[in-house]
Amino acid sequence: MSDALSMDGGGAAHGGAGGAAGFARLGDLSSPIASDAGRLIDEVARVAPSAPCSTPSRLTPAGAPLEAALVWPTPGVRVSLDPCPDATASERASLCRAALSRPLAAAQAAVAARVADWQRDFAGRYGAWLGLRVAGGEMRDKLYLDVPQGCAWQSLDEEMAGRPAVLPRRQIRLTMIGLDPASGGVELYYRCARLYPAELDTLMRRFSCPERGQEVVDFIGALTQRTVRFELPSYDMGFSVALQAAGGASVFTWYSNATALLGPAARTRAALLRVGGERGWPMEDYDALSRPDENGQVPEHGLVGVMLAQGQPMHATATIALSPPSTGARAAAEAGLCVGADREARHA
Amino acid sequence: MFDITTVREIDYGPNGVVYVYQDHDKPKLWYMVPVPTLRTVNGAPAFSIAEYTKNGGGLSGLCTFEMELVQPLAAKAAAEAVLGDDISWGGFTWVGGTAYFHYDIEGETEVLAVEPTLYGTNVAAFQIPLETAEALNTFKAAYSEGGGASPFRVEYDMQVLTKLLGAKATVKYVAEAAIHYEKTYKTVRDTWGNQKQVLQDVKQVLQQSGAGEVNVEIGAGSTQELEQRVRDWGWTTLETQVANTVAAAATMATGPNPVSATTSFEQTYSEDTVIDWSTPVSSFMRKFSSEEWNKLFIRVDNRKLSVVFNMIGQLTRTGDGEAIAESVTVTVDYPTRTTGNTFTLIVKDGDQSSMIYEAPGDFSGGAYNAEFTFSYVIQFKDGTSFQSDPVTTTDTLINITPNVFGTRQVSFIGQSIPFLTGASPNGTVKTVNIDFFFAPPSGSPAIVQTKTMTGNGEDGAVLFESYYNLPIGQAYSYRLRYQMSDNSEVISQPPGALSSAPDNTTSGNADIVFVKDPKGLFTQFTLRAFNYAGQSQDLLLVDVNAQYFDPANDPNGWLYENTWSNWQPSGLLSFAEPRWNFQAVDNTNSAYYNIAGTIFYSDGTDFTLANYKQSSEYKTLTITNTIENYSVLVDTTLIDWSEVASVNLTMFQLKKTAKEEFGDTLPDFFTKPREEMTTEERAAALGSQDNLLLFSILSPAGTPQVDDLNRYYGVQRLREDPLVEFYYTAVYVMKSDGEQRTLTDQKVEGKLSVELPALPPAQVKPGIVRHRVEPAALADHMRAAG
Repeated sequence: MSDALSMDGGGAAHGGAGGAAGFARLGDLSSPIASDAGRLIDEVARVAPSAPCSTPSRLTPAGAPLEAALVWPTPGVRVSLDPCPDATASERASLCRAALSRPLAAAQAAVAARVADWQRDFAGRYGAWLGLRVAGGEMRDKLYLDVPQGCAWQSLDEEMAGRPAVLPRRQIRLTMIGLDPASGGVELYYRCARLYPAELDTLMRRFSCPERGQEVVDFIGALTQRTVRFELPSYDMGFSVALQAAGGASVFTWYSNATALLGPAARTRAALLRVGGERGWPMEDYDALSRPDENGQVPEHGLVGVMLAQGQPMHATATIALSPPSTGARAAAEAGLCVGADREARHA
Repeated sequence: MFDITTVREIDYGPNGVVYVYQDHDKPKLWYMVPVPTLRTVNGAPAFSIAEYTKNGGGLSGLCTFEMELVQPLAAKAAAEAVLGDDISWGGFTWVGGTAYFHYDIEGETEVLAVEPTLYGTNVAAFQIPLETAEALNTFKAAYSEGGGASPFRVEYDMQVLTKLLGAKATVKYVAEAAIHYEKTYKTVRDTWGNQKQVLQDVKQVLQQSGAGEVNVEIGAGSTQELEQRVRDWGWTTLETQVANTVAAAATMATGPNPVSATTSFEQTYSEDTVIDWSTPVSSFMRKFSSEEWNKLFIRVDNRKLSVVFNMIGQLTRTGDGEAIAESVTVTVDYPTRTTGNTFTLIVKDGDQSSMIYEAPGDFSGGAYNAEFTFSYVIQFKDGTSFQSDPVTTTDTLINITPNVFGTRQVSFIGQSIPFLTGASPNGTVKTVNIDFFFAPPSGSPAIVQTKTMTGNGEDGAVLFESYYNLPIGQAYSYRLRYQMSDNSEVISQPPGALSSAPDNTTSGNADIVFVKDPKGLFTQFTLRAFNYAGQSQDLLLVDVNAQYFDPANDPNGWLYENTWSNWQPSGLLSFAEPRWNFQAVDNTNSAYYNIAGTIFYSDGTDFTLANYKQSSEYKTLTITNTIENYSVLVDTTLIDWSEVASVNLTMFQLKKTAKEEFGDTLPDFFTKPREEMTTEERAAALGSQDNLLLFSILSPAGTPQVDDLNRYYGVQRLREDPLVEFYYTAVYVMKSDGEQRTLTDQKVEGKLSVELPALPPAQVKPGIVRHRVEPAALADHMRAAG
């Protein structure tokens, strides 16, 4: 199963509005993902920023620098993080790269080098994020690289896909690249205009994925409780394709900004709990992680996605903004890399 | 009548899907929702793209095409394979609809809305001016690459009457959520104000803000499939209602964002209620083969004139289904075309309901001349005919609506009215008297007709129909008088003739008015403030008391009251909390708010709202640091109801830019109702009029009481401009012969009240009454009011 998605939540652009779930809630997750969550907590404490960072992070709509992704029906939890919201895009890219536990494979490094050129020549938004998850008992990290607008991403896209671009009128644009050093694979994240149901299969065909668009449409219909007649009913959507090191796509994921599909966080939470409940999915951890705070505010959601891994049933994912741990970013601050956190730490 | 609980999805062909419904009473009778298809005329697609190579007159090209709704033979065959070949097919009776063309240019999605014919095959003619080379190339690429589907689609949202069976539904709009969303995420839009374009934005706002709610409860034995269909319908209904609300709010003089002037509402549809069921259908248009393309695409030096003439609306009689006329022969006058300027549209033949008139562009004056003149002759079935006056215009879509045939058909249908005789044991309504009025052709007596409704649904429908064979206006007005079991009367009357929404393009002849439970309408009143930047003072503190009066239903005093004390507006836009909610009778024609209080500014000045009165049609009071609010009393007591059947009053202010542009002379077309203006006149009115309010005042019918109720109009005065100015037009319809008398141009100084005269003089040029109130007179008035 591939990583869940992460992208530009625009938190800074929205002034850091909305709420984030308390970091401690990760520790309350139940079996079978409780042990994974425990290890993630430890790892996050090592690399995540501390609470006093002064700038809202773009990682989440809430401005929080962390995001938890839950997956169903086979339960899973991942974390994406912004190691230093106060840093510039290029500083953040360096921080994330430096935090990887092992070097990138040669092919991945070549891709990263091309992205670095793009980031040098075009203004990026955030530079990079860092992803964490536990797989096969091992802590795995993943580098998410920001693909700046205006760069010549099309050549990389065609090389990777091995086929010409499709759907020229849907404004498809490569926005992020995910690199998991342990697998050696490359995941391409695209943003696009509103798609029509049949166009999902067109995208899947391009990457030689089985045509399973109807599963996406059915899930969207269940979530929104509306018949999908024309365009998919999200106003901000995209998709990703995970390519294996040996070649070939392993996972196709459709995703949407949660608000653009389901509305405010409380509506998103209600829809996910309802559909998960109807399908008999284990929703207890999500219920706990997304529960409203003492003011009744549900934590902001980032994305809702439908993951189609080859040979596996459809999985759904949703991301929730997390507030940073109070002891985070020690490593970054100590290394003198995270300027803002460092400053805040000294002030503290 | 078809049964919504029987909906079936039928797959046909490679990718086709249609929906079919079974008749409620005849199991072998089915109805198929038809599919949008490009029309074929004389064996060729009704489609063309022209590229202008030299003199485009501001255009690079023009795309014109016609769509229609058809039931594909393959879909019928597929349905019969599933349902049995012994079934028969019924036809839907459409009561309304809109056709949308969805396309995109340079990544921007565009939507063009037109009204289909509503009879025959619902032909919808689209004409898209391609302003840039990029737009032209986009269209060429979209249609010319041979075979398959183009990226552009046409959607028809059609309505048909049926019963809500097996489920009940509630639709709810929470204005606060939409406003919060707009404040947080949206910048000012320029599309607000056009009702059908607004709908596209409303869908997004409702979904993302959480401001829309649709709850469906299915009855015992009903399926989840039905629940889904009813929910789909609920959302479409809610989206349309919110779009209407936003479009109406856009006519207020209330700052940059009409969404913030909307207020919450809720509507419940119980089981068995008659509703207008929506059946949205959509198809991607096809690309053309190179052989077809070579015929459909033309390259010409000069821009051409291209005008769509289109008959729309219900052009058959409700009773016998007969066409209301034989034909309409149109003659066009344009300098470059000397032959073939006359053509005939056949009323009973949907295939001959539209015509695209084309002529080489006239550049004799140097620039492209968009102006042409047309007139038409209607041939009626009784051998009489009507010759229209010539009309000169630049409109490229000419709709010939049923009112020009003299036809008016309006059905009133009860929706869950608690009748004493009804199923509900708690019924409180004995009957509903409906007073109905429209201006007849000159020479015919004008009367307020009254008919009585005694039951809900189509069986209890009350129909008003008239066929004059002479043109009538589009507007009509009505008043509902509910006779209650305790012998009291509840009066409910909308404010204006038809809608005051600016984009009132419905054909308006065969309307359906749903009559609801008179009591318990959820009403919300909002007090909001704008603090504009760069002003010499800010709003500091607001102390306001508001009272709701409805003298038609309760002459004894205010019915509801609310006070906001020591409210401190903050930021650009803020709202006094909590919102004021109460349950009232829907009587926006004469109910009003009386507002008293004081507004304090940061420069130490203050302003007294001295019993400021505002029509209850506007449920938001806006105060800003740039304007002051005053109310104008509209005195109707002098009207001579022994001679007058109805008075239509249109009140407005002018935007600052329009004042500068027009000076003392307003355009003549301002005297026309919006629905009778040409497209360009309507656009000009929209761009220059502010704070538009319509009052339709009916002579008494069936009641001993004369309508002597005062109306109120709220006006705004710029703090930097001490002069208060507002304008109105009034049209009196005389009882004896339907003569329409208007007020002539007048200037009134120093009066913050309007006295409608007993009778306007006969035979005067329609004019506009302009009121100017200088500061000294205003101060006197305020002293008296306070």
